[in-house]
Amino acid sequence: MLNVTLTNHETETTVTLEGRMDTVAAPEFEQALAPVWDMEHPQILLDCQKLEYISSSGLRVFLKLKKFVDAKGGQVALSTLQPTVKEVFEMTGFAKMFQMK
Amino acid sequence: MKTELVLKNDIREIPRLEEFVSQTGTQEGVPPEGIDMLILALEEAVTNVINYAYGDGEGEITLTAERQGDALVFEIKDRGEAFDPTQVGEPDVTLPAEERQLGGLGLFLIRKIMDGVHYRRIQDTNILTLTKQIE
Repeated sequence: MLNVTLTNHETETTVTLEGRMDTVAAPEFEQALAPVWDMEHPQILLDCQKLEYISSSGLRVFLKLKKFVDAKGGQVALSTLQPTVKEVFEMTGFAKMFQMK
Repeated sequence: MKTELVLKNDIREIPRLEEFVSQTGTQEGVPPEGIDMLILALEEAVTNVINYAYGDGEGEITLTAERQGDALVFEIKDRGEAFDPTQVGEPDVTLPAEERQLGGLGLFLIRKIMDGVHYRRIQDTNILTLTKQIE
């Protein structure tokens, strides 16, 4: 089960991820990002403190988001990662790709 | 003891796979972080079979788990198109985002997590064996 919550602040949008992002859940994450794909100046904080698990289908959406935000000249940062997710990010080089907050 | 799980080639079967691997790992005394890594490797391997082995048709995937000495041995069998995932090239995980392609990390993760990845084709069956040393 994955819960995705978008919260708009003045200049930044926080995307809170809770639960497990497996092959079944990753498309739900991509769909929940719909408002982000319309942003002209995306400033995104991905709150992953309660994200317990991620597979390659979830990483695909993270990369898609990063590519989109970079192309728009925006910013995307990650909060603290749980150990399992952190290990996957380190194995795949994703840890270096995202700014950590 | 060898345990077995039969799955349809449908992504919605993935939670059943996660449950099966979790139970296997727990029974064999794998710590929780290790169990998530096992689930990840098996999810990646089975997702590939679900997405590609049978084209648009329906088919079954059989997963077995067995303790062999100090190792946990998983076998994934399907009767779809012949495909040897061990022959797929490695992605470059040092590239920045703009030079990366979407996808291609599943097999990479399987190789990183498991100690052994072996493929064989026997008659009309693909057999992928994933081995993980425990203790």
